Amino acid sequence: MIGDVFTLLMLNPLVNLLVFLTHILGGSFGLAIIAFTILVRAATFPLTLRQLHSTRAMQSLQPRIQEVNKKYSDPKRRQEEVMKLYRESGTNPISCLGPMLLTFPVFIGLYSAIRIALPNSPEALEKLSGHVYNWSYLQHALPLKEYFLGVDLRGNGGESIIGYVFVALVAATTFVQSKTTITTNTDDKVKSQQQMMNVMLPFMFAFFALSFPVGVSLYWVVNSVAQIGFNILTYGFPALGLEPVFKARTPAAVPQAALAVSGDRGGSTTPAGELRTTNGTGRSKRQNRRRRP
Amino acid sequence: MCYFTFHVKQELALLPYKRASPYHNPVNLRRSAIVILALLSLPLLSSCVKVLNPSGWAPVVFDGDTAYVVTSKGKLSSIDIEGDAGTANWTFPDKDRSEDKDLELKAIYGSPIVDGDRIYFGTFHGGVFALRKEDGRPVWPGVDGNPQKIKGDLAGGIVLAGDTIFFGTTEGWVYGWNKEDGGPARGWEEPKKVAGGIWAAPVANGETVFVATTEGNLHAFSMSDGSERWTSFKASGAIIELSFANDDLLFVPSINHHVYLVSVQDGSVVSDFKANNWVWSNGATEGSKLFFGDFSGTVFGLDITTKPATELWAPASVGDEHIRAAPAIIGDVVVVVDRKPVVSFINIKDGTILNRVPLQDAGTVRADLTVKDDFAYISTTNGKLFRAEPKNLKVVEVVLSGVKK
Repeated sequence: MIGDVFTLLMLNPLVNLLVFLTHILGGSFGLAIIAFTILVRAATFPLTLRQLHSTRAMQSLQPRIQEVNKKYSDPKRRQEEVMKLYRESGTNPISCLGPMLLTFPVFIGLYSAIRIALPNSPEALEKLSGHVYNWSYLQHALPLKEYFLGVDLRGNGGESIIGYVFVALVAATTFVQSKTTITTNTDDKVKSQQQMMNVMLPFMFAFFALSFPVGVSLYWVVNSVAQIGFNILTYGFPALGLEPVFKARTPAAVPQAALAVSGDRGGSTTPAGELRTTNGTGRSKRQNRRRRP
Repeated sequence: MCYFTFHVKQELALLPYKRASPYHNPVNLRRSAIVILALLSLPLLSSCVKVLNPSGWAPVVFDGDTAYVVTSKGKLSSIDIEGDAGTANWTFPDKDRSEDKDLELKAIYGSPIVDGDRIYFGTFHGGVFALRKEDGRPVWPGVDGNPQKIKGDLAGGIVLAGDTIFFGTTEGWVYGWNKEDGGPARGWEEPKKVAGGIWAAPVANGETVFVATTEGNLHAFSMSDGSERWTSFKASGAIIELSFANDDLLFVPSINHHVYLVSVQDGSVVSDFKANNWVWSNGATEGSKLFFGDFSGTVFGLDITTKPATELWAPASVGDEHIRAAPAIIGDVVVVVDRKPVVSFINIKDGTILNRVPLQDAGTVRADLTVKDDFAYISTTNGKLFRAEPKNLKVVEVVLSGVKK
């Protein structure tokens, strides 16, 4: 049932779009994947922009969130205060999930579509006949040519020298993408974790690319390059002296009252570095336990 | 994927910290859970799409009472048929023999060809073979494989014309080899290149070999020197099957839903008939009548003596499954098998369906039917053999024994 819905709503449209793009691009499936990626990025551009702004806004709130975290030991209360902070700054913490949740099924669909659209056997071509719409323009394009820049797009990354080149490109673009993403977390521990992930993730995705069709790696590379472009336009690239082109929506100023809680010390936004305990200013763990209902 | 990458990075970096610290916030944790779940479900979801690897669809070939049947993926067996039972003489490749252990033929498409004391066949990925009928051991190639390297795969079969075996590959190369030793034939020292891939077995007539391509072209080559005689015909869709309608006409089906009858002399289209769906099967001919099925499960009967060809009766629908196997004509009955597989007996005179018999536990049927005596033999993808009997409109299984898997 889930498989049927996935096929009907995701796989078949993707297969047909790829066949269509291949036909209008002179029979090149590789160019079709590139065009497809650009189309998807263009269609999701507003979401991307929102996500980039949201990420930046979220990160600019990090110092204040940390203050809240340090100030309140009761998890429920802490959550309430953090949500209040988000609300009053006009930031939605789950808004950046939208593009990701959209991208994920597209990626899965593309992975499947490439395997379907480039049949590796007569049986697979017969199967493809059930996925391609009954439109002569599409039907005339079949079977598609599987080669692009001398590499078989059906083959896995680890099967040829050019396949390995694509694996390396996946790693390189993932790394650059990480470097162009802002990681201005104020917490040193998180910072160091992120730096570690900057190194680990390219290896991880390169490992995946070894067993993925080269066509999927091509999509990945083009998509990453596009994302790098967006990142630079939104965040700039200080190392090269590039300023952001898309100005960020600065989160609304959080009223001091948001952090002021009756019974707590003064309601001021005490710098994180000045907080000496993790139990709430001036309180011990025992005191906190007593305060709980 | 890039957002995905970014968030995986963010979340994976934050997770240990969050776990260790009492200061995590539930929103981030929920987001992390979604990301991790999505990552873990990637292989699961992608495995929902099954990719079909080559398994082959070679029809049964008879030599007296001995049948040559593809009994499993890429394996050919010689079987003595007696009544409803068959006993295997040999199977090739034989995994009990050390010299066969490294042979990976993948699949056999197209009909094996019996000639003299040998049987010839092409394999999807392992080259072309000439076996001794007696014991199923290769005359050629030797341990080093075929003398001429094959560029691409053999998705169609081979054709034997005189002393030369012709075949084409998915990368668009046409080869002509001596049947004696498997070396390149005279005039075919270098393979000929055509645009597009070749998925149909070539056919030969007189001094000409005909090759169809996925670009929709039909090429006629001189057998003796490999020169091209004509390339006048071009369909708007791929041609992935090819056969003769009679001595003068080629039966050229296409995935553009059309069936063309093309003159062997000059490649001119004599008739252009539109079916309901892809046509990827050979036709069965008897005199002026030609029958074939399409991927909508419809069977057509044409009178090919008229120009253009005219329908003998209203198309007969035998279900909605693909018909890949060429039908068989026995007396007044056309036997058709679809992919389900169901065997349909159709009255040749008016197209009425006389009976439909489903085949149980048979896999599917893609191989052309073979006529012997008054029966149509059906080879299935799981290596079973059935016999359709038009006289009593029944189907019986020929139980095979001694076959090495």
